[in-house]
Amino acid sequence: MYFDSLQQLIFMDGHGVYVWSAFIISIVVMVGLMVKPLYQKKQEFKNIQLHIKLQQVNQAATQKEALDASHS
Amino acid sequence: MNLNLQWTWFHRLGSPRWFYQKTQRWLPWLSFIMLSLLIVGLVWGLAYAPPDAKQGNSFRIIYVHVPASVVALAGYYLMAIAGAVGLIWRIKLSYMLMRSAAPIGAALTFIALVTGAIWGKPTWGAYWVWDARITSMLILLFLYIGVMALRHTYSSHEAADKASAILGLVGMVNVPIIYKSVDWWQTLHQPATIKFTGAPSMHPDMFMPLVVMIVGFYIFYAVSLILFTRAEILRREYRASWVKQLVTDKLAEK
Repeated sequence: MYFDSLQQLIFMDGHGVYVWSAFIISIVVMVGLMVKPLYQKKQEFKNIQLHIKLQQVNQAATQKEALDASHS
Repeated sequence: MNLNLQWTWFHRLGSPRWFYQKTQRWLPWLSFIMLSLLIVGLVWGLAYAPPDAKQGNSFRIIYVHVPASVVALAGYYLMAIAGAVGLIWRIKLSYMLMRSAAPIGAALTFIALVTGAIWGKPTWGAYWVWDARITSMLILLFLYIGVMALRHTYSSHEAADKASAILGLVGMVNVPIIYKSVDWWQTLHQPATIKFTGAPSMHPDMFMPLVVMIVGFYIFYAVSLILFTRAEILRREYRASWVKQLVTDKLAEK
């Protein structure tokens, strides 16, 4: 390692604040770029599930209507 | 026959289903390579590389600043070309890629600008200067945001996609301006560290971790683009039978 101690690595001769804040901001944004699409995908799965269920309910309802109509 | 074989890959590439299924297998590998490279590059750049003779330790910001900028610019080409392919061949997947590339490019441009501003303080004494390189990068951010925003201005997907693709193509003029800005104008921003022609202006001890970080950022971009595109495919193809099958299978697993 270039630095003699962990303290020096953090302090970086007074430049530590700049260097570490730049890296931390970058990491936060990059983690966001991974998490956001994964969350979106989860939401889409839920939406599609709902879509399928609604379709099934609709189908059942039209079938029932047809059946009722043929009986009456 | 031979010609058919050559073109099948092109049509398969355009299939959202093919993309979704293939990338499922690629993602674990890509993620592993991405994490390894980024961790190695980060530790190498932060703790092992020697400090710069003039700038001291603040130069270490280069290890996120340059990779983010390089990939933000390359990503703009990718987004614009994906838009053009969508306009010309009406391939659905390429529009989905264009949509997905915009937020990633915007975020990377944001990283480039913010880390540049932080680096500017100890080096130039100011967070922000209206220098040619920085201003053209800010325009790049606005172009990315424009492509993102155009999605919501049209009620139909198709019209929004076309408008975004055209904005993306027009904005491509800005990319070579950004590259050349440090040569064309008297700027405060230092000239390019890596040149296509000639040796890099850096010692190998400093340069090697930068190369690792740039490759890591490219793979990060690929992983993020794949993730965004997969979500976009589900959003747009929810009526397709294979998507419904996928969701019902997932539901059955639980």
